[in-house]
Amino acid sequence: MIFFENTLVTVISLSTPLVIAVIGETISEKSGVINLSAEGTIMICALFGFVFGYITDIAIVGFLFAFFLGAGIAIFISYCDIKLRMDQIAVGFVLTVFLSHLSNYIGQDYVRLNGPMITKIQIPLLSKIPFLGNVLFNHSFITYISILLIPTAWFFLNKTTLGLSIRSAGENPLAANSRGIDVKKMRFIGTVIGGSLLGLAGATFSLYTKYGWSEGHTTNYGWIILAIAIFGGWNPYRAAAGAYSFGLLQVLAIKAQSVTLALSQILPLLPFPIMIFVLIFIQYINTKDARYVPRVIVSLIVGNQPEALGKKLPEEIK
Amino acid sequence: MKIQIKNLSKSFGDLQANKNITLSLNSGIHALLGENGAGKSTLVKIISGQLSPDSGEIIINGENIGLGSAKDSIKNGIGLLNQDPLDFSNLSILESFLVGINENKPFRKIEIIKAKILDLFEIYSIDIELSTKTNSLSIGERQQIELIRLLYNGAKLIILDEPTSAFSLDQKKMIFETLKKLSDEGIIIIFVSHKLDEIFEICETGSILKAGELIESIAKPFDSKKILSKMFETAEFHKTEKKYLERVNKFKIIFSKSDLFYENRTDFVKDYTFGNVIGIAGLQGSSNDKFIKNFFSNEFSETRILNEFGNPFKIENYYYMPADRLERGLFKDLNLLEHYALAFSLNKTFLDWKIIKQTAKNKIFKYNIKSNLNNSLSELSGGNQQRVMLSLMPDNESILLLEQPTRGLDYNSANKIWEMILERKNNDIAILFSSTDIDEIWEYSDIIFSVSGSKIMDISYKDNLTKETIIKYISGLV
Amino acid sequence: MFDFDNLKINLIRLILTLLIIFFTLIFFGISPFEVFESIIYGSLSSESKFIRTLMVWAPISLASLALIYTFSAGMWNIGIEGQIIMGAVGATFIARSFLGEYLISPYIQILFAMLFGGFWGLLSALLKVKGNVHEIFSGLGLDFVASGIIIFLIIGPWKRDGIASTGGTDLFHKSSWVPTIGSYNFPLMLILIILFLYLISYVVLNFTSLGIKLKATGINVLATERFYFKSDKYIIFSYLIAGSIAGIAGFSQASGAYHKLVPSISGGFGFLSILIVLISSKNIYFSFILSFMFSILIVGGSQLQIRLGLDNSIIGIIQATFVLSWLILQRIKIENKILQKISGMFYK
Repeated sequence: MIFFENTLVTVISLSTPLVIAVIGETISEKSGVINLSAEGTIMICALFGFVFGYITDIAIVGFLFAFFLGAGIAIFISYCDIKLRMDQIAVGFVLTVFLSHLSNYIGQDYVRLNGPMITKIQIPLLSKIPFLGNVLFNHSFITYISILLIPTAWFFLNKTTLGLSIRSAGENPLAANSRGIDVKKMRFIGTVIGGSLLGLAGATFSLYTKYGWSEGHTTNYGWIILAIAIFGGWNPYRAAAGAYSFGLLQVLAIKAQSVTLALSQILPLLPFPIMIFVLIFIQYINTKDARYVPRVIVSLIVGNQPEALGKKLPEEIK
Repeated sequence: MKIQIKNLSKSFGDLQANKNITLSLNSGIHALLGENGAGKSTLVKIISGQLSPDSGEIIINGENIGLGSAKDSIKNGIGLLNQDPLDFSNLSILESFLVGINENKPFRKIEIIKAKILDLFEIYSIDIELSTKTNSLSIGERQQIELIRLLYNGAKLIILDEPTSAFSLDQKKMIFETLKKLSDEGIIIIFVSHKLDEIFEICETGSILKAGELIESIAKPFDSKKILSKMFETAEFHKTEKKYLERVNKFKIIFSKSDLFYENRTDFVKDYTFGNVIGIAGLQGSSNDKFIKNFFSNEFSETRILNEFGNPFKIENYYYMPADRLERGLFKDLNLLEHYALAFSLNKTFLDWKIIKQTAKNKIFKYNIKSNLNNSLSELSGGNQQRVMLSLMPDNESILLLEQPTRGLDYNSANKIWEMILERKNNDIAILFSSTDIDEIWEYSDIIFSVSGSKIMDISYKDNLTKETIIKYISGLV
Repeated sequence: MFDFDNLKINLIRLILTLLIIFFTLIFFGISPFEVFESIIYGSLSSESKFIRTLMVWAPISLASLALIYTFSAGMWNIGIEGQIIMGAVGATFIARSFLGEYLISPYIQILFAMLFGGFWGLLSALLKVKGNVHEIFSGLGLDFVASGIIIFLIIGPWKRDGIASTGGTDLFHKSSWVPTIGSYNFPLMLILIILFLYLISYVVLNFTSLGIKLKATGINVLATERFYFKSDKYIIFSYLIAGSIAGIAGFSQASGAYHKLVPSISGGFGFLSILIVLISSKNIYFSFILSFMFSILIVGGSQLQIRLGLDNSIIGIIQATFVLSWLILQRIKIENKILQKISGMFYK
């Protein structure tokens, strides 16, 4: 039981950056934009988050800087997407390569350094609750933020006017436009919120879960975020569930390391074939009648891909 | 609400789409009639703010309103119901309703809004849960809800642009009841349509547009003969030499019962011989194009072309020309020469560019295509694109399936195209074409299918028909 | 015959891009001239250095060629890394088998590299065509699976005797190495194969109906049915061909560069080639030349650490800056204005 409890604590803690990032990407994709630079953005924001935390010796500064850097990168992507009408996939991909290399280059001077630590904050009273107290109320501030982000994002997207406008822009830009919604603005906002959260996630890696900086510090996490976002069906709760599942796999991989070297190398890579399988399954359910699959599973699996996702803004919208 | 449209004019280059249109409305359901290209959709776009006119004004309740902005038009109480529902498939009805809603901070008053919507739903007999996802509803239901939404946002004038094209009979009934109720509440409705049967059913007054001008105002009781003659004034036609040939090979068309208006009919044409030209007449928005495509891809219905032994032809025996030339028929970034390579090297592994070039040059000359071989298709005019598509026809025997072969072409280009088409009319070719132009149907067909909506109303030899009968059929009148 | 206008525009764009790189380096406090000199020295100043450049150029040029096929058909073949990896695995399989000791080994290796790589590409294609899975995600996923497979093989069944290390397998038997000639080990066979493939591809893409159908598929999937061919079929073809060629890149890495299998066998060359094809716009000449340019950057760049104390990643920055600048310049079409200004000056 203790083992289970400890594992849960570790999973939630370790998944913190993943949750933040995948929620950010979900919001961005709801507005119609895939941020394919996630891998690069997370890496460079991890670096700069650490650097600024290190220089000022205040962790929060690092987090804030990474947040705004992520926003800045997203603004660039949005400019290329909306103003220059470039292919978001091409821009995102090149940016990933660019930012990854840039991180390694600038980061050389910052390897093996010790930066500011962030401590666990125990919520008074609530943390004394047996089991749940330890699992939910004994974490660092950034983990609390990640947990709070989940319902916040859901509320934002589904219960606010801005969230709804953003979603409408990602579903049917022409219809939204005809109803007086500023589609360009909505897409911009969605992209930038997404990018900022990706940045915040990056800082979470280097200032919390995978402490410090090293070459290729956050390698592959960006790609995995893109996968989990699809897995999450563009729903913050499901996306978070996907992030935690991946975190669980990682924890198992660490524990399995003592068992076999081979297994520990492979487990972290498992999410991808799983994701492909799920994607195929989703397509199967969407295109066929799928009478053989119980309704419960169908409703769990089917995600609502924003119809305008990945596409350029229609020309009619000037 | 009183709306006055004064001297609205709009040109697109040489084409004058609207010429001095003047119209006054203060209540009721008003029809906007006219042939394809008469200027209806331009007028609608101007009123709804999607386009600015070159001159003229719109006065609502004595005030001159700003034109050219969709947002302003909405503010002024003008609502537009498009042919395709402008809603959001993945959102729920409620959410789709809320996008762009005319309320401050809607989510705070969500319960009040829900109640208001449900009240409206009740008044207009709509029985759908607000949490239903939009894409699980039929188009009819979606359009109904769109109407309610326009109403909610304060529309006092609602324009419906060919709204019922995809509707079933039940859905139509639903919408018409809603429209009548709306009209009783004082909402002005402009109903743009070709379908005379529907117009006669719910409109009280109407305006007929022709060549950009408002030529006639009509009112109940409607004189269908007079209206038809005003709308479809037939033009002088340059008579092309028609060849009368020995017709030998036959083919069959098997019709799916659900495609025929009269399911039990037995008296329609059954024998088709190669050398026949079959014209599929229908109004814009009818399924006449779909039938043509269906003969090629067999996706739309079970209606099929078979050879005289009852077997299907190979797909290489068909040549299909879609109406959307660039979207479905050609490759916009490939140049002319490459198109000929694609079309005439089907079974060859290697491309002999010398031969292809020669073939291409011949075709360009024969079909009078004004372009260089290395121009990409997107650079060509519509007329030239059409000629290119025609020139890509294989030289062997084929069944030609032409969707609106002269769409968007001027009189002369259209004639030329038909000259080229008819040159293929020999013992080995069957030609099926769809058109919304009655004169074109009349001029070139030997056998005419009349389509209204998605039903084939009639199949007859031209000799057994008159233009008026055809018009009646395609307008849904029986 | 030759498109001079286009050439002029590309030349100006090249100059502008180089200027951007120039100023980027200055921004980082680096002298562009020293960098340039180091790079040329490190890659071309001696025969052995030149050979090293060739061995980097080989996989990159092959991967770029592979991508031309898939990009022509309108596909984002991000799975190229996985296809390279699996090609390397296929080559290793033969190298480690009894065949590995015979002189014929490299030729069989190539065959198996093509088979494995082509199969890996086929998986992406089938997922796209039958499962409607977006090729980016299937590609990424299969990249990861390939990484998993290679790691598993290296520390598992193909591990070095005694030590299971992620450093790689045992070295291949000499007969399985990429055949070279001369005292400087010039990889003649490999170069000939690459030239041959480029030549064939030039013919295939421009003079066969396969080539033009691929191109058509990439432009308008809907219109292909009207011309009596199925776009699905050609998407699959493009992936089969791309995967096979990428597989040969894997062979080149395994048997030519490393002479063994290592986890990072693809060296990021797949992604680099995507960058190359993004700006070469499926033009075979451009890809050929750009691959060489980028190889010079990579090999010459490895000298930067020693000579200038610069980390290797500056090369990646230069490459990505080059591509990003090129793409943006292409979009804002500033070259036309510059051309006009220049001709305006001349015709005053």
